Amino acid sequence: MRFIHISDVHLDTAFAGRPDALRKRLRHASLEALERCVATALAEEVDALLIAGDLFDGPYLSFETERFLLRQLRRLTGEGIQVVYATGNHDPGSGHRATGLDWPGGVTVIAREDPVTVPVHRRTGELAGHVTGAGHATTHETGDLSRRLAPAANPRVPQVALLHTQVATAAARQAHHAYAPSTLEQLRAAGFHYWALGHVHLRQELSGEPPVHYCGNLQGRSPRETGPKGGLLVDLGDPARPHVEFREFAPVRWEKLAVATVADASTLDEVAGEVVRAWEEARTADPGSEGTEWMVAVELVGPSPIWRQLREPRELETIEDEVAARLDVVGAEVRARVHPRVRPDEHLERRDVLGATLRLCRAVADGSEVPPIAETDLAGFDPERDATVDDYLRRLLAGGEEEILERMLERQGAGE
Amino acid sequence: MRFESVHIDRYGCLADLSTGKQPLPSIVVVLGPNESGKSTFFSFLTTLLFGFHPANRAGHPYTPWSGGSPEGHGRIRLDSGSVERVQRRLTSAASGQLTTEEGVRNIANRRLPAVEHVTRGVFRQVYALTLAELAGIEGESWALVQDRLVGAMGVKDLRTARTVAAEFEAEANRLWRPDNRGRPRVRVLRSELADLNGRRRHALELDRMLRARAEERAEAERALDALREEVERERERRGVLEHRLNRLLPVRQALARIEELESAGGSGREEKGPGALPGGSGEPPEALRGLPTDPVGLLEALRDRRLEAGVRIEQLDRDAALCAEGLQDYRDRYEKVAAIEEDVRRAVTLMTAMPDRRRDVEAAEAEVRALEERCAEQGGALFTVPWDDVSQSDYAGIDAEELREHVVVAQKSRERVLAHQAGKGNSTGVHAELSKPGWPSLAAGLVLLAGGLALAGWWFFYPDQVFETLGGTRITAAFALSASVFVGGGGLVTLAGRLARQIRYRQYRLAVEEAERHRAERVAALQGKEEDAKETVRALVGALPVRESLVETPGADLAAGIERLAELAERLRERRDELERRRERVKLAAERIAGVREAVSFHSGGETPVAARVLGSLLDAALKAREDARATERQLERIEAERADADAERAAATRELQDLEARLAAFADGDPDRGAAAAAERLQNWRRAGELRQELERTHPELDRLGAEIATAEGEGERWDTLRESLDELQAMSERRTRRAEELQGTIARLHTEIDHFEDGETADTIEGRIKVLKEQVREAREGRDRAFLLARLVRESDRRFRDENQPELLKRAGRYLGEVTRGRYDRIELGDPGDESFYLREPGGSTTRKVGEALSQGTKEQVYLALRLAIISHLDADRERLPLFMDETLVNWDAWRRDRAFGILERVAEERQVFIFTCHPAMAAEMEDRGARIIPLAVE
Repeated sequence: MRFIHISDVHLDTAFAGRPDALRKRLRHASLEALERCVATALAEEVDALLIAGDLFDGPYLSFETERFLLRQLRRLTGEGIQVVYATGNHDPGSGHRATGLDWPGGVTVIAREDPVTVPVHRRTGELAGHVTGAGHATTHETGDLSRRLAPAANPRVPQVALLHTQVATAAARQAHHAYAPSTLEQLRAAGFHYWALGHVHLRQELSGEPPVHYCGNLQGRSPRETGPKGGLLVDLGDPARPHVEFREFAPVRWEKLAVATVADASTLDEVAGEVVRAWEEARTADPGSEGTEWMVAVELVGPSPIWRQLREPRELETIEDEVAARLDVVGAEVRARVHPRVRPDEHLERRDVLGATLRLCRAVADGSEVPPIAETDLAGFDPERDATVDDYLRRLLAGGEEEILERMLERQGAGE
Repeated sequence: MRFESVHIDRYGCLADLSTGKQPLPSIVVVLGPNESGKSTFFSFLTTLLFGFHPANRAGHPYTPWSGGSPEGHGRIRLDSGSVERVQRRLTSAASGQLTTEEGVRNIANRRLPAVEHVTRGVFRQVYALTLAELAGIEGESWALVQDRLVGAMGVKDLRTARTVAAEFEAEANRLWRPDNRGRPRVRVLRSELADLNGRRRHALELDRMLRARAEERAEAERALDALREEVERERERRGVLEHRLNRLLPVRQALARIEELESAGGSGREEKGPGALPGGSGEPPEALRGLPTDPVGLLEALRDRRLEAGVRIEQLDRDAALCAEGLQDYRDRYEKVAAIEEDVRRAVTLMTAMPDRRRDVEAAEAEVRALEERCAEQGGALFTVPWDDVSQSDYAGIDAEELREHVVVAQKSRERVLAHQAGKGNSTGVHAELSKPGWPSLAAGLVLLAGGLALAGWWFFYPDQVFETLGGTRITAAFALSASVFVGGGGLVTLAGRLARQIRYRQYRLAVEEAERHRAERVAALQGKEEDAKETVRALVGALPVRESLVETPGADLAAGIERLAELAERLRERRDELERRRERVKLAAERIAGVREAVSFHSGGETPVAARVLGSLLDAALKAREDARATERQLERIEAERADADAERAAATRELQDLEARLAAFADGDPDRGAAAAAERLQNWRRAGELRQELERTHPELDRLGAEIATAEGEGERWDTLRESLDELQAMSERRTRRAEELQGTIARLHTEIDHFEDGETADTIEGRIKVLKEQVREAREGRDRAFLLARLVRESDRRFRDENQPELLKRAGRYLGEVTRGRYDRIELGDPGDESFYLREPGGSTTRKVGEALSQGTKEQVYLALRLAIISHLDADRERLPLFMDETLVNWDAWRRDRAFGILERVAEERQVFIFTCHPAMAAEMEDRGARIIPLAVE
């Protein structure tokens, strides 16, 4: 049995807050990636395409994307390639777009927790294997769906499990909500020849025997999702020796650059130059695939003589334009976590109100003193985000010392 | 801490400046005019404590003017009593060395451990009190000054906690407010969210409409596709019908007509099966095969042919008889003449020319006679006998040229002899004749010579004698000498000329004699040559009886006469021969004429031209008759051939007529005429059928295929008679469908436009993404507000605590200083009631207070300010190393009374910390020196 395993396509991600042209490019990149995936499936003459959830980003799917998706799926089913799609937390089954589409024959949508086993046939009509999957019925699936899955009663053909889940030991799992949590032990013990997982966007092999894979998302969507993105081409012709090969489908690749060498850059041009230098170093280490378009997220960190400028959105946009032009990339996003050349530690012992304030901040941050504020005074405390008010306030205090220092020291010289 | 000594190697404008070995006292006055380096000195002390700033030589403001690196050292006694020596130097990097009791250590550019509790900025701003600060109080709000003093502890660039807290609070309020005042960002965002939610509903509605339109369009497209398929089928059906109507139906009708004609022509109609093609076999019945297309006409024509052939034979027989008669007449009358046509024609010619020929003979005879006379005349002049007795060969054989040549030689020799003889004694032929010289010339010469000698003798013998002429002219001897030269010279010349002529005459005479001798010899030679020539001439004419005189003195007439005679004799011979030839020709012509006359029996007329013309006319008539006879013979041959053809034609017509009548009789019970009419009708039908078939095949090369298609249509049960109606019905249906298709296309286009319009709008997913972003922004705004609010609380709390902790002691200490400086007028500085952050001054033991602010005098405010600054400094390094205090012209504007009290305070301060006073006023320096201060003088370079 040969198939392509993808997940987390997140069609119609809004990419809001970005310029229109960039937003359209990023949205279209997902479609291009899907098209490349379909082309590969046709070229490799696979038996099936497995989608491990989050095919859509939200409940609303644009008509254009909907037509594009159905057209691509018809290309597959028209060539006898089955499509099995188990829903995820972004596109759960009940009352969601996934259930309302006019899916072509040959596409199996698993939108409920109840396991569904789909026999996959080769074009010759011969049974190639079984795909057993379960879908998310709601956006907050908390149960371990993997426990429901069991191989079909035909051990002669490969058995594949398809699930959108968060495995407890997966890398980068913290970036995602722990929906449909599962354990690797449970997956390995289930008796499948291959686990096709979705949800965690970082591509990773959780187990080699049996193979348990996150294929990662099809197209990176944020600076956190760097590296080549695509799907896995899986050949279970000999289930004892499965062959799993990554295929890059994403046309746009994200690159995150943390530039901490702006301490001596006294102009925006010099800052841009530092970004370019960091970019060139990164590309020397990883040139990427031919034809890859890049989306760069730059974070300027550390002290800077023009820290005030770098906090101005307009100035950052200037750097973004300059960097995008110099690097010839799809887009550049620049954020600054720079601060003046101040070191709170040097002012902690001052016998003035500044020293007193810094000491109080530190005391509150380390919990040795109660913050002078009540929960009722707060506007943004969210128990889902922060367990306690103190946790929330401590998080808010990150960088607070520097900010107080920056504000109270009217001139840099006072801090010397 | 105290600076005990300071040594500046190089620092700004200062170089090799040393305070000496004697430790500096508690109060040090740095005295110098402006630009002398007081600020440089303060900077150096700061550098000793805190290191170089900036720590690079190029950027340091006090790089030595003289070049080199900033460098210096100082000795510091700490409050603990220990002494430290610190050395600083700034080259490419800053270096520092600290020597303590524990040893020497490298401190690079770090601050001294003893000043760790104060930053460089605080040291420079708080521990250095300047005149400008005090002066600046006047223009500032005292509340601000007070806040800076207490909250920022005098650090000018440290903004007050309350200000910063207020900023945080303002920022928090800009982000979110618990009440409904203003439009904080969260409220704005929530408003945008509400708007986006509305737009999302609208977008969803648009999406629903979009999908409905798309479904409607898909339905219309499907209907249009079905309609197009139907139209396509109808178009094909219409094509079939049009083909059958326009192509097959005419062919089928033609085939039916052919079949009908062939049936009428006598072919038996065969029973055909369903779907069988119409149309006959194309082959006529046996009875009609071979019959002409028009048997009636042919019957009549054959009959006419037979009749015409008989008539023609009769006519030919008559023509042949006439021809025979003409031929016979020719033979009888002209055949003999025509047979010798050439002889007759020659005879006519001869008869015509005979008179001329006879005249030619007579002319030749006359010419011969004239020549004979001339020969006789010429012979008589030459010969001594008749000329015809001399053989012509004798004189004709003489070479006339040779004879003429010798005759000429003899003649010329004789003439030249005669010429020589005639010229004898004439010497002019040799030289011009000269005369012999005479005596007069000799005499003249001698006379002149003698005259000359005489004149010369006068001069020789009478040189002095002068002869005077009648005219009075005087002739001297000298003149006579000159004249003797001319006269004597002339005589000599005359004599010389005569001698020359005498010599030339002698030479002439010798030449004349030589010429006479040569002429005699020449005459003799010429006479011999003449005789030789005569002998030759004689030998040449020796065989002829030439007259002797002609031979004795041969002349030109001898040769010319002989030559002329030979020529005449030759011409005579030729003319005689011509005469004979002419006579022979006349004779021969007469014989020929006679022969022809005899042959044609023409005996009249003789040999005259008239007879010749008669004979010629006879010949012409004979020749014409011969031509006519030949034409008659050819006509007769043709008539005979036509006669044979006519016989054959009549026989053939008779046979064909008999055959045709026999075949036609079978069509009408033995009556060939009626049979012919019946056969003609049947044949007409067959011919028409054949023509139709040929036309059909010509216009339809694919007739076989059409036939097959007709058969197929027949097999399908096609109703040929209603084809047009079916086609019209189909056309009407097609038009209805076309209109329907256009309607559908219009609908699709409209829907397409609407869908495009819907797709151009915002989609729900996009709005949803923006809603997410806005929610995130709301969250961030809330968190930002909480953060700003928290930081504001922290700053305010810190400020409150700081004031609570330090203000009482600070004010107490400042009160003491104020009591000193006001000599007890005010000895306490108090804080207002809670909520009132103002300072109040209280007199000792008094119950009233005065608020420090605008109501107080500038001097009092300055005193309060100084007291507070000194208290702050004491606070900042309380329990720590006490750093020096620097006062830069601070008290220069104070009156002597207040300044004196201030100096007292400084003395108090100096008890616990070293005080540096910078001034350019020597008097002030002297005052301090009186109080134990040491003066460090600085001078302008």
